[in-house]
Amino acid sequence: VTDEYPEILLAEDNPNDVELTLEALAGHNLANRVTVAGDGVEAMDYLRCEGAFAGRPQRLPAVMLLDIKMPRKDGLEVLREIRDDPRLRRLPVVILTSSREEQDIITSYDLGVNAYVVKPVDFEEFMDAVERLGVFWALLNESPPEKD
Amino acid sequence: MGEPRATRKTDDRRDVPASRHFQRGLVAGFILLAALIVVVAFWGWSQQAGSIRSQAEANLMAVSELQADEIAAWLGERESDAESIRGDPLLAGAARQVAEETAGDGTVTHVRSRLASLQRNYGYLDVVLASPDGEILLREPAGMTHQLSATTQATIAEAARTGEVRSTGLYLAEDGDVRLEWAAPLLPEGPGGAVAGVVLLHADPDEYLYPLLDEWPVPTRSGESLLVERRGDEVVFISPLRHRAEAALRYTIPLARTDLPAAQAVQGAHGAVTGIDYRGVDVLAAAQSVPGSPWYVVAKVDADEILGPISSRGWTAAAFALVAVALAGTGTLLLWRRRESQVATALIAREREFASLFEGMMEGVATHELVRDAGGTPVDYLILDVNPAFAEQTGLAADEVRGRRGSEVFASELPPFLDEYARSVDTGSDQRLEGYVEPLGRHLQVSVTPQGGERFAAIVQDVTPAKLHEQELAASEALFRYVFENALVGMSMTEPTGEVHVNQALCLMLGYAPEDLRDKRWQEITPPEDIPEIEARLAPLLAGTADAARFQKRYLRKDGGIVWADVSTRLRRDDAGEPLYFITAVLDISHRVKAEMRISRLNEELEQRVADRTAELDAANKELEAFAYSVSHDLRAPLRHVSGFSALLSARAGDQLDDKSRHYVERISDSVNEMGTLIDDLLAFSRTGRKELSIERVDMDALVAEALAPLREDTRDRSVDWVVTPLPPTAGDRSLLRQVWANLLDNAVKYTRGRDPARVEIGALEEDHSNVFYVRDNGVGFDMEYAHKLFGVFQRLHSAAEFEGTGIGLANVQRIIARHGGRVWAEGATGEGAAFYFSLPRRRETPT
Repeated sequence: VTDEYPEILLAEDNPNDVELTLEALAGHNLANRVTVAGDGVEAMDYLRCEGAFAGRPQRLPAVMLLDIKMPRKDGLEVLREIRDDPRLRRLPVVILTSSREEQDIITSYDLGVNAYVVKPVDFEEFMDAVERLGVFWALLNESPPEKD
Repeated sequence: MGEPRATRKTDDRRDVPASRHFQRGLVAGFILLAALIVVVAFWGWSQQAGSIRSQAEANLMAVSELQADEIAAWLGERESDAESIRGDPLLAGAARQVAEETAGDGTVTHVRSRLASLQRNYGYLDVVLASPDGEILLREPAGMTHQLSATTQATIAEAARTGEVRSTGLYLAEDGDVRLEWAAPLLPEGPGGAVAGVVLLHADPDEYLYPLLDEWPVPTRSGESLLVERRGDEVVFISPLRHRAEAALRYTIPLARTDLPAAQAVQGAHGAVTGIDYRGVDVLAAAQSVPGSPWYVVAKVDADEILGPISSRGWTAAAFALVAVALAGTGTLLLWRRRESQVATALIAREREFASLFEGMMEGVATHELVRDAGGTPVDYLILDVNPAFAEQTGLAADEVRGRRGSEVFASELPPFLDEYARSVDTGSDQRLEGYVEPLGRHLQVSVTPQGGERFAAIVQDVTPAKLHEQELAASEALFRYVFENALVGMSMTEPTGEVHVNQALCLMLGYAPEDLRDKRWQEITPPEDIPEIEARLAPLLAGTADAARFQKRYLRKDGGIVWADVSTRLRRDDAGEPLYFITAVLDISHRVKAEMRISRLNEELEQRVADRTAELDAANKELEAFAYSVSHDLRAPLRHVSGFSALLSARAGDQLDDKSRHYVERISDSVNEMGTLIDDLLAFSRTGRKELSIERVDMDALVAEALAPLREDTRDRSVDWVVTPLPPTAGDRSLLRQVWANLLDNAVKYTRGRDPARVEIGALEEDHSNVFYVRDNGVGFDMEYAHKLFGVFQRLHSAAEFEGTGIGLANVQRIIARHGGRVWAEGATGEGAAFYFSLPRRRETPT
């Protein structure tokens, strides 16, 4: 992992999903820039360089792919904390979830999510979606400046 | 005629007792006033008498004191004259020379002139220079020639012996002269030395002493002062007396005569005393001792002089009292007369009144006289006189009855009321009678008043109509009582005091025996908490703002139970408008009320149950929501993984797999996709059940056109006849109704596959309370035997191979229509097409 390359934070508790997601991102050489957080708490520790990530250089990822249903702290809580934190609030966050629940979609947008993607059941479609997400947010999109 | 008139007069006087009272009061008042006048007069007089008497006493005291003082002063002067001579050595020396006859002419002249000056200056009768043995040496004035009395001689000897001044006191000399002398010894060698001679001072009581007693500072007619002295057992009057000549020193009385103030005085009495004087006349006196002497001054005045004014004033007071009493008597008499005339006037007026009353009164009056047989038993009565109203009250003309006997008038041996009349006459008391008089056919009310002797008056009133009315009233009362008592509904009569009278039905209703309810008040048969409300309902009746009231009321049974009653009550008033009683009809509605109460209790329970169920339903909905959420998340994830990993497998090992293996991988992939669809449909179905309806006006034509658009696109390569007739607008949730149309039309397209041309009809029927919409096709149809399964979840009548689908669509349609309050049904036959209907209630006001 080099400093020049943009980084992707994947918050996902299910190892199968992690594996499939990493597989999907492998195509554009994006997989090795992915950091995986097993739940909301770990994700917040990473972003704030706390706990297990205390020694990490202070640097925000280019995008965070966030699952909703996670143990300890769910995705919507994580999103709220990020938007309430002055240092983190501009971080691009994409909800990547199995839920098509209207309430989840509304809440996410109210909290200021950057995109909401429902994981397609069909693997081809899934691969396609994740790959496009990675390319768009990690490579095409211009990240917000580090300084306030 | 004279006798009854007298009686009558007496009676009339008795009728004006006020007059009698007045006269009695008048006499009593007069006596009282006269007594008062006498008492006042006597009191005033006695006050004056007391004051006159005490004034007189004070005067006498003052006079006696004054005179005693003056006499004492005079005596003192004489004493000091004598003392000054005794202490004169020159005179003493000269006197010795005279006595020894050695004196020259000059000396004799000197002594003479001294004696003469004494005599002249102090008013002595004469002044004598005597030798100690009583021989006169010199005398001034020389003209005096009387002998020295024995008393004088003795006194001179005493003075010469003692060398002290001596007085003779008042005494009667041998020649009958009253004398008073002082003997002053001359002491040429000073006190204690030999006596050269004695100077004798001869005072004149008539000139100096007695006049002092005549000096009365207050005017008096009989006032007199006297000097007395005690000598042994006697009292000696030593001054002249006005009413007794030559009394001085000659008149004495025994000491025991204490009725004389003089006797009292010498025995130490002091102040005012009463008694008789030397004349035997009643006097008022005051005594005073003269200091330095054995004398007493007694000042007295005749009692007449003092009592004279008192008695004259007494007469004046008596005269005044007499005049006052006479005036009061005259006044009383005048008042009496006036009253007499008033009473007489009143009597005349009353006579007139009586006459006019007799003539004009409404009641008939007849005067009678009782007729007795020889044995004194009353047998008949004579009618003396009747007034005009008598005819009216009895129907008997005055001419027919006046002067005739009762037995004649009434044509009966014993005329009406004879016994009662006789009793009134015998006892002298008034009576009231009432009775039916057969011969007259009338009911009469009679007041009997005895008039003295055998006479009596009867005041007669015809009460026949009133009697008839009374009887009718009694009959109607009885009828009312019968109706009241025997009515099948409860009846009560309630007095304003609250006391109730109830009928049998009400007794039965309340479980009381009739006698238990006697004297009970309605408040005692009413639950206490209901009383204020009932009072409020009765208030308008009592206030007169309402005639009747009807309400439901609870009664308290004797056994403590409650009776619900429908109560109608009306307030009866008397002629004056005062409330008499409430008449109340009471209907037992306990059964009805209990039923109503049960219904209301059941309703409450039902509401509670509904609330409980609603809560349960809410809980179930929540669970379902959670379930659906979990399905959408958790069920789809493994599916995705299966799909993902099988795809990865075929990508990685595709070349090495044989056809069979590749087929399996495809089957896995297809199954996964199918299950994904199922889950999505199921979630949609669950959402339609949970989603809040947002009702609005829906243009069904437009909605159908929207739903048709994608289908027209999909069936471009098929031949479909769309028959769309205009649809009525309706009210509902637009997006859900669109799903209904989409599902039904989707099905029609699906199940007409293979028909050429396929025909799909869309239309509506208007029923009474709802609009019925339908979609009819000429597709494969269905067997009506399974029609009931059409709308079940996951229920299908065709295999997936024939027609794809999950069996959720129609279940969803039914749920949406049911939520709109409508109904769904289908008609069809295998191979002959199907028709699906749904009805939506027509709302009275379709929102625009």
